[in-house]
Order: sequence, then structure tokens, then C-alpha cells
Amino acid sequence: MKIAVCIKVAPDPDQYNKIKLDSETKTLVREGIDSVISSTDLHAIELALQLKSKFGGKISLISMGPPSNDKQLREGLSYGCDDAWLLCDRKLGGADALATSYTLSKGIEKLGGFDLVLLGNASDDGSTAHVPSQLGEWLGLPHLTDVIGFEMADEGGALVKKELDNGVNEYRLRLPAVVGVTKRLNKVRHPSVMGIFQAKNKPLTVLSATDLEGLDEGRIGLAGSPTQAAGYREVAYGRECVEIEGSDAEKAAELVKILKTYASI
Amino acid sequence: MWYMNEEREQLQKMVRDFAEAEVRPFVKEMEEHDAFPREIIRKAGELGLIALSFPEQIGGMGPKWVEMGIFLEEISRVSNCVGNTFASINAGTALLLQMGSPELIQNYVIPTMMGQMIPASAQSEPCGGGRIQDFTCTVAIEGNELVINGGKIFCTNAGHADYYTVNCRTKAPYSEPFGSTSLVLVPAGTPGLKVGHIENKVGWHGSSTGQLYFTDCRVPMSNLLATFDMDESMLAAGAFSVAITMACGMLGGAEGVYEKALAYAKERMHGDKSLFDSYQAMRHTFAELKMEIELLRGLVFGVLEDLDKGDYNVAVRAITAKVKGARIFEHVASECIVLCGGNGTIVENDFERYYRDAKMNSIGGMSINYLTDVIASQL
Repeated sequence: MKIAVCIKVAPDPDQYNKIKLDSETKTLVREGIDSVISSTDLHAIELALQLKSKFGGKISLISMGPPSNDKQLREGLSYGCDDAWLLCDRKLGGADALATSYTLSKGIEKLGGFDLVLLGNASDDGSTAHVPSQLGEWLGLPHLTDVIGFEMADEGGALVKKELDNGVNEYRLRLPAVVGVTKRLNKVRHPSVMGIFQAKNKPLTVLSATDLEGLDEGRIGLAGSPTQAAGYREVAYGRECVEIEGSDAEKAAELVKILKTYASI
Repeated sequence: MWYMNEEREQLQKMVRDFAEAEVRPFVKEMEEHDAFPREIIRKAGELGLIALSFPEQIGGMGPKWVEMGIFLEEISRVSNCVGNTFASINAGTALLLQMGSPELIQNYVIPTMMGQMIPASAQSEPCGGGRIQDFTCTVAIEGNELVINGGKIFCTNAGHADYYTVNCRTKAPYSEPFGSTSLVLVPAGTPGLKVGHIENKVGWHGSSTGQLYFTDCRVPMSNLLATFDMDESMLAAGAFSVAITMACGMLGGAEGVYEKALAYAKERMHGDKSLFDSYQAMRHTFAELKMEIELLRGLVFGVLEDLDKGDYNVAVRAITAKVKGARIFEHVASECIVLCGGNGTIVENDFERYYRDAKMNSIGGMSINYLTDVIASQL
């Protein structure tokens, strides 16, 4: 089974208190903040490892970003993935979800032959949750998002559970396909010491824009991004004490009303 | 850090994640019920973390001293007790690894390296700590069997260990080639071995420290690790390994409580400024503590780097790291309680646990008074 796992490198959520926004570019100022593999992508890696251990095969990691992403790709390899590919070119900078998914699709097409493309449903930072579906469309493959269950079916394809607001839908998914997974899917393992020592010797290849065949430069980077941040504002969370008056019945009724209004119960 | 590279950074991240995911949720259970972290040890073994300090010849990763230091440091940031338990695994297998037969290494050391077995080193006796010539626990040779009688105290991992390496006086009259001291491996559950009282200690809750009683406890002759005329100088010569592994834990413990207190001081508002920004005295105290921690780091990882280079002439510096590390850890934990004010004193806020654990480091794995005397004896 040949599996591609797309990973995004995002600011470490443990350091969100240090994050600042650039008022000019409306983007995150990443200096001084450590980068990590976006946490939902780790669940995609975990699924890939489980499938590889059951059915054999190969796992390729693919990421788009600056040269420094090689550190997170090495970390991904330490879990037991086989090789890594970094799509790295100044032309790719400033990409939104659509340009990112387009570029990733070109990388996946170049490598070719995958039975399954896995990735986190949404990244820790941008969190648009657009990339999995868009990637499926660019590749012309069936795709499912919000996935909380995945197993291979005896009769071919996969049985997939997708989380909805009010329940769970079950699908039979034809492969090859693109699957966006959630944190509910599995528990991510720790990489082993041997995995860490072996990762440095595994192949990690950097591909530039010119390496991606048939790339439409109008669809990549900032120029190929139809969505831009228009502005931002800080949201202050405060606490307010409300005293409910009246009889016990009135207090209870008022409390129910407040809970329905503010807590969506 | 000068000793870090990409691989070691990944190891550090992995252990930090492991400590948060596996160790931190278990701390309450250890504190409240003295629960032993066996499952944590099993998982660490599966991941290859324990193997960092074992030689490649038996399937280990090294020994890789700097990597082992990173492992013990990171675990101890969350729990110095669990970090020390891992250090005790090194201590419990060191002699077995050096002196054990291939069969004993196969049956005991390798499963220990994989987290499947817990060792214990039984040394101290009621008669006194380091004076091994006064020990009264004896081993006699009867045919093809060793017969042990006597008792041990302060045995780390007592009651949870799968085997004990017991330091015995060879019972007179003994004949060549037996020396006055014999090291014997006794599997847990051997008839005649009884685990006695488990001590209720000031710190390291979850690390089992207790008494052992041997009454005509018989093991096969093949469980004899070594026999020699051991004296205190030999005990001192082996001190560096215990000292430096424990010092890694002291560094981690000091960092753990320091970072927790610093985060509190920066978040706790005092009017429109944080506590940290409000008082220069607090900022300077944090700066002083940081300097102490970095001094300890320099000492600890300097020794570990030398060991990785094959330079084992580190005894004085390794013992210094243990003695000064115990004092630094205790000082840092004590000051952090003060820096956090009333919240520093509340048990649930978890500052005082570091303080209690820090105190244990002055005694456990050879007392700082004894070790200071070892250094004095070499002047």
C-alpha cells in the first residue's frame, strides 16, 4: 500500500501566547516561536503507520514550505515513514488554502501511484479545513473530511466514519482517495529512539517549482491565492458575574434561558 | 545548547511529549497512593529509552551518555521521582552488566533494557551506610547453592523489583577463589526472601524504598555475579555513574519547578502588571536561580560529553554534580515556593512536591556528606 501524508508546519500551540500579527501583511510573525508538525497531521501519520503495519507498503511525507521544514519532515520520518518530499520555492510563498492544495496536488502527481492521501482535517494555525477537499478535487479523487474512523474493507476500498454535528455518517470509500482526519481518529504514538536515529539516513528530497510538471504559476503562491486576510482584531475574553433574582422557580427558569442563549444547550 | 544537534533535539522533544503524556497524569497516583510507575517503565523500554545507557553488544543504543542525560533531565522536569527510578535501573544493572554471565545478561539485563523487568540493588544495612566491612548479610556456599541470611534496608524498588543484586559478606570459612564480598542475584519470589516495611519518605512518593529479609534464601551458584575482596575505595570508584545519572535528574527537577514558577509570576497580575514585572527583587531572584541551573547544566553535560568520548576520569566532577546538584535543586525549589507566595505553599499547585523530591537527592544514591568525604580523600 502506497500512502502519501501531507504535513503542515505550524507554530507550536504551547507558544501561542508569544504570537504576534504583522499589521502590514496580516500574517503571523513567526520569529522566536518554535515550529511543529500541525497536530492533526500527526493523526494522519498514525493512521498511515497502522495501515503499513497491517498491509505493508511505503509512506511518503509531503510538505510545502521553507527549507527549515526539513526538521519537521525528519521528525515525521522518525515515526517510521519511509521518505520525505519538501516543495520549497520562493514562488510558492504566501499561498492560501487553494494555492497550497494545488501545489500539493502537483507534488503528489509527480511522485505518483498513491493508494491513499492522508492529511489533518484542519491545521493548528490557519484552520480553514479547506485543503483536504480541494486536494481531492485537484487530483480528481474521492475525498472525505472530518474522519473519525478508517479501516480497510475485505471487499476492497475502505470503511470510513465521518463526524457530523449531530452524528456520524459511514461511507464505503473507493481508493485511491484523499482523507482528512481528526484527532478523534486515533492516539498518536511516540517515535522510538531507534526511529529518531534512523530518520537522519532516510531520503528527504527538496523539489522546486520547476520540478513540478505542468505547474500553472498563476495558481501558486500569493498570486494564485484568491483569499487574503483583510484585517484582524484582538478578542478579549472576560468574565461577568450575573446575579439571578426571584423565587427558586424563577431563578431556575432564568438560568435555563441563559444556558440556552449562551451555552447553546 | 552546545551539546545539542538535530537528533538530540528530536529526542528531547520526544521525551518531553512522553513525560507530559505518560508521566504527568500518573504523578497524582504516585503522590496519593505511592503507586509504582511500572507501566511508564514498560513504555519507556518499548521506545528504546532505557536502552540508551546499555551497550550495543547486547542490543542497546550506546551507551550514549548525553542522550541518556537528556532523557533523565526531561523526565525529571515532570517528576524527579520517575527520573530517579530510571537512574536506579542503571544502578541496579551496572554490576550485573560488568560481572554477570552471558546467561544472566540474557535472562535479566536484556529484559530490563526493554522495560520488562525492574532491578534493585540491595546494599545498605542497619549497621551503617558505606562501611561494607561491617555488613552482616552473609552468603554461604553449600554444594552448588548459595545460601543467604541477613537483611538489607533502604533498597530502592523493594517489592516491585523482579530481581535483586545483593551485596553479601562471604561467610567464613571461605576458600579460594572466593573473596570476602560476594554479589548475588536473587530473583523476586525466591523462597527465603521477604520484603519488609516500605518506608514512608518525605519525597519520591511512588519510588518504593524498603527492607529485605533473607532467611536461608537459596539460589544456584550460577547467580553469583562476582566475589572479591571489596573495600570502600571500590564503592567510591563506582560512585561516578550513580552520581552523574542522578545529577541529570536534579537538573531536570530544578528546571521543572523553575519554569512553573516563572510562568506563574508572569501570568499572575498585580494591578495592571504581572508579579514578575512588579518586583525587581523577584526578577533578580529568578535570574539568580537561572544562573544556578545553567551552572549545573554545564557541569552535568560536560561530564556526559567526556564519558561519550571514552574519558572515564570524571569521578570528582560527577560527584560534584551530584552534591552541588542536590543543593541547587533544593534551593531552586525552596525559592520557587516563596516566589509564588501563598499559591506556592498549596499542595495541589505542585511546587512543594519538587521541594520534597529535591531533599531526597541529598541522601538517595549515596549521601552528599559521604560523597563530599570521597572528594576530600582525594585532595
